[in-house]
Amino acid sequence: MTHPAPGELLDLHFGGEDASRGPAAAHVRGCAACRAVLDDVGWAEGALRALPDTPPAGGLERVLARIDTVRPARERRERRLRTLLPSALALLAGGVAVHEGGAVALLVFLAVGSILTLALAPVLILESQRRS
Amino acid sequence: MSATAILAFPPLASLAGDAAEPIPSAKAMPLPSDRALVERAARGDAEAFAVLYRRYERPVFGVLLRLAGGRRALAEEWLQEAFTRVWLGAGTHDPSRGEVRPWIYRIALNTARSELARRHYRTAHVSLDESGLDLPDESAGEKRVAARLDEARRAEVVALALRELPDFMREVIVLRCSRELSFAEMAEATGAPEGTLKSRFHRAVAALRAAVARAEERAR
Repeated sequence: MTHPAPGELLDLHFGGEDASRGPAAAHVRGCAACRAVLDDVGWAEGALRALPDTPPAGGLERVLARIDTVRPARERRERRLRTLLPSALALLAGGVAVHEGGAVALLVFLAVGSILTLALAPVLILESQRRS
Repeated sequence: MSATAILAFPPLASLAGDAAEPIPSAKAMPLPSDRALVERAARGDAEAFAVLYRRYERPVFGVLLRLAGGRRALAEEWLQEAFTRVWLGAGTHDPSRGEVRPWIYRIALNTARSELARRHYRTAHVSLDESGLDLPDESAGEKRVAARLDEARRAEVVALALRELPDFMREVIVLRCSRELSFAEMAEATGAPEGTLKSRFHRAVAALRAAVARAEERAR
């Protein structure tokens, strides 16, 4: 006698109506060994149901309070990253420029950097004011 | 998380006050899908998050309580942490990569895994006192007390047995027996192949049976 694969037995147990009409179901009806496997699965489900699953009262309030404490720290971290990232990239670009092109490249880099800073300063100031 | 999401978060009191009340429009309108709720939460809609929380609170808590081996306080802490991660990570949920349900359970599972690793709760604790289960009400009738004592004892035995299982066995048996996720969804949530999970499940059932027998022996 060929028994259904263990996975098929599980599909039979958890599969509901459809699975109970298939060939595996027909086999299980006449096979004590397979029925024992399914009985074990049923027993495990019953055993786990013994534990309660009533959630704590006021859970949502506590989650919202936790979010309120976590959020500012996360926001600060993101803001710090947003501030540091352009500076880090600029330093990296400066380093590469000096390494590749020497003093002239550095001067060009500083000039372009200054122009960009002057052009973007009003936008950055406005954004910073808006956020605070 | 966008700045809009942060700014749009309403005062706590307004949401917490709604917790026990039905959603006013629930009867008139079809219930929003999980995906729609997550999308709204990602945009900072805390009411959508509250609906999602209420939808999943009980089943997720049930799973976490079992993963925690019946330690209620621990499961409550994990529940808070898991849903905090759901809110913070709502913007990262990619519908093309899977449904909301396995995504939420993956977050819950990862929360339990990381907290277990952090707190070194992997070793079995066998104190009956710390199971955190409800004790029978002394004022109830004698039969009810006896029945509740039996239930409480059975729950304690199962809780202790669950603590003895290795994490990968406890996860698979708890997730599947909760009937919240199919094996395919569990594969999505745990990252393990479906066939592996099915094979683990059979081993977990046998291990749980043996652990329950040992726990019953100790409880006598």
